Formats: sequence, structure tokens, C-alpha cells
Amino acid sequence: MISHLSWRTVTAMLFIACSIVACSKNDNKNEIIDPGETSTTVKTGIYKVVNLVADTNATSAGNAVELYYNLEENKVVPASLKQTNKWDIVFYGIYNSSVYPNNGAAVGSPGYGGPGTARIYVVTDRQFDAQYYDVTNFKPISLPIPRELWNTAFNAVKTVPVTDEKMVVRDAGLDHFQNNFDGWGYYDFYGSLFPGDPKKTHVVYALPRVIIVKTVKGHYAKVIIENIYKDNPENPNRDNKPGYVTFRYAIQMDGSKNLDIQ
Amino acid sequence: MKKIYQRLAAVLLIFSACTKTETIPFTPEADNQLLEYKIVNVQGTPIYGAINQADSSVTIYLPFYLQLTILEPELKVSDGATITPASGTMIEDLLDFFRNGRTIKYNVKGKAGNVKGYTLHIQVQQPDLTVKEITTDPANPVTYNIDMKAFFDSFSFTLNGAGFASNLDMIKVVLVDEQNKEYGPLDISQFNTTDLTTLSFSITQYKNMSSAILATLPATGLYKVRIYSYAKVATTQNSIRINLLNK
Repeated sequence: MISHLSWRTVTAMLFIACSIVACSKNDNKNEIIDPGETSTTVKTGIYKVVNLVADTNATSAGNAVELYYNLEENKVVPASLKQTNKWDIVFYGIYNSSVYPNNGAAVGSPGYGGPGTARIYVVTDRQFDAQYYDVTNFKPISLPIPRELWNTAFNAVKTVPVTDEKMVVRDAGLDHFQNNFDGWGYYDFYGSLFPGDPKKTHVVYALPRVIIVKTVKGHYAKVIIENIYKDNPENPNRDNKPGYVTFRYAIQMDGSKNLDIQ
Repeated sequence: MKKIYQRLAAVLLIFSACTKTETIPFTPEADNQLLEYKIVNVQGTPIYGAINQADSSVTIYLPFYLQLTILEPELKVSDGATITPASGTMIEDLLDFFRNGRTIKYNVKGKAGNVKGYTLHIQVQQPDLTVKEITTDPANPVTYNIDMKAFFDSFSFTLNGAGFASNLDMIKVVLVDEQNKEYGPLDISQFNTTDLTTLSFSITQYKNMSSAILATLPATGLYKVRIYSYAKVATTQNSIRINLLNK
């Protein structure tokens, strides 16, 4: 008897559920159809982008062709969409070394005028930095920087350490190069780390530092750049081809600031 | 007093008695209308377009300072109607739209299959663009020579005016010959980052690093200078002369 009753209840509930679904379908007449390719959003997780072709003809003489990236869909976005919310960060400027967030309110930034509200923040921990970096003169102590430090730095960031207001709308770029900002990479303009070696001038060395990104959709991600040279060489020189960005990122899609993602 | 009220009541009754209920067949609202047009790829409040049902047009007023080169419209149409291009379809390369013009049309198809076409107009609220003459006496055009056989040669000139966009990506400068043919664009000097009333150009002949425009210019010619700055265009009245020596 009990089972009979519950069967009835289940049937009734199913019926009601079906009718609700039917109703909601009818209400969707005015839904906005996203034209073009269907976009698929990534799940919370860690993603690695290897040898992403930016501007392979880039030289140290001028700005490279910029590369727009959508972290939530894990894909490159054409430059014509720079004033839209279709991307989160751009690899901009010399050797694609300036990482700008998509922020339409930031005058002079690539997304200016558009709807973007992304922000970024470079995480620096001087105690950690001391392992590979002269924290007074802002340059690497010795090269190559051990690879495991990238894992350590990446895993050490378990949450967003600052409020949104502390995150910036300008670029994260080359470390203390013509500025006073901590950056993601060291640019050895004169080759001073390797005196007398002409193949070591104008070389960019990535540093094990995490960039926190608040995406245009409001999710948080941590990004770490491993290299801008092809095939991720540990100790690049002028023979290595720039314009191939290798980076890793973890994105939290549940809206929280939890970046302890495995 | 009572009488007055009675009369008043009588009058009212007469009027109401005269009121006749007449049924006039109404024209149903068209089922193929564009009801809302807004540009959403901006900060904060979207930019709403003004829809004119009578002449089937939409006008959007774009602020100049945003320097938008792409628009993402979000559209609403009558219940059950469809629109092409669909809501969210980007309007790309606005600079080309301003400079060369193109028709942007939306077709709304109602339930019954009737189609209404809307034309999009874009009005940019941009300050006037003006240029000062390089040649002040038309009888004596300012002349620049460049020796195409020399190891290296170059000349440079400056265009002054007002209303130049602050972002050089929004600016294109060309030379215009007497047949109204355009040459260029000219390479704009990037060194000036503070003065919005001046643009400088340097034309160089040196091995394989020569300015691209030299390959297209004839040996001699008279050219007006034309500037496209975002949605506006201005051209000098008088011409300058450019001679490519030994070409």
C-alpha cells in the first residue's frame, strides 16, 4: 500500500516537473542567441597552454602583435574583439610581455572603451623570492631558475590574497624594467647577467610568480608564465625563438576565491 | 436647489443616452517590430538606440571618447519574431564603416512571415576635425624632394589642426592627388605623445627600409593631405608638391 502511494506521488511529481519544464521552455522566446561558434566554458581546474603562438616575428625593437586570451573558454580571441567581454588577459607590447586585464575603464589599455571589468594582481613573496632573486637590485641571482620553484609558487597561492580594489587595471610586465613594479619576467637588456655573451642580450627570463586574474565574468584565476620562447627552454638565449608563450593557470568557476585547485 | 440637481441629472442622462457604443476594427500591432536596440560592450549603462518605426531605422549616438571599433548589440523583437543578424552579432571594423560606409540592416520576421527591414545609422558625437594649410599660397605649393638614387634621403612635414584623436590607431593620413586618388597611409611619428594638435610624418628612402608610400607615388605630383580621425575626415584646401628625383 505504501509503495503504491509513493508510486502515485512520484508519478504526480514527474508530471508536475514535466509541465514546469514545458513552461520554462515556452518562456524562452526572447533569449539571446549567441551567434557564431558555440562557446564552451572550462571547469574548475588547472590548464596548461604550451607554445601558444603569439608574435613569432617579434623583436626587441617594437611592439609585438598582441594576443588576446579567454581563460574561461581556454582560447585565443581575435584582436578585433578587444572592446568586448570575450577575453580576460592580453599579451601585449614588446615580446608580448605586458599582461593587461580586459578593463574598459582603464585609459590607454587595450580594452579601453569596452565592457571589460577584469583586474590582475602580481603576487610577490620576498622570502620566497630570495631563493632565486636579488630582492635589493631586482634581478635573478643565478640562471636558470630551478623549475620546481614554479610549482612551489603556483601551489602556494591558495586564495586571492587581496580585495578587488587592490587588484590593478594596468599591466603586469617586465620586472622593474623602466618602472618600479614587480613583474612576471626579468628582461636582461644589456646581457648583464652573462657579461661578454652577445647571445644573452635582450633576453626575457620568466620568474616563478603568480598573477591573479579576476575574469570579465567575475571568476578568479591564478596564472603563471613559464616562458615566452619556443619549447620552454630553461635558459633561453637569442637563438631561441620568442613569441611562443607557455603558461599554466588554475581557474575557480564556483565564484569563490578558493584557488587551492588540484 | 433640488430642481437644479434634477435638471443637471437630466442633462447628464441625455448625454449618456447619446453615447453610442461603436465597434471600430482595430489595427493589430505589427508582429515584426524591433522593440529594443542597445549596445552592450561598454562600461555600465548600455547605449540605447533610437528606434523609428515609421521610417524603419535605428540611430545610435556613440560618444567619441570611447573610441569603439566594434559594437555588440543586444536586440528585442516582437513576441515570436526572429531577427537577422541575430542579437549579439558584432558590428566589426567601425573605422571602415565610417570611412567607406556600408549598409547595416536588420530584418525582423514576424510569426506570419512578414519581414520588416531596419537600417542602422551611427552618429558619433565627435568634436570638429580641422586642418591648417601646409601651403598657404596655392600658387606656390610647398615642395618636398627626395632622391631615389641617393644612399639615403628623407623629408618630413607636419600637419597641424584640431580634433585629432588621442589614439593614433584611430587616425589615418593619406595624400590625395588631383584626380582624388589616395596614396598611403603615411607613417605617423609616434614620438609626439602630448600634443593633440600636431601630427608629424617622415618619408625615408633607404635600402629595403624605405617608406611604403614611395613605391606608389609618381615622379612628381600635387597632393592634398587628408586625415581620417575616428568618424570624421578633413582635407587641406591647398596641395603640397612631392618630387621623387631620379625615379
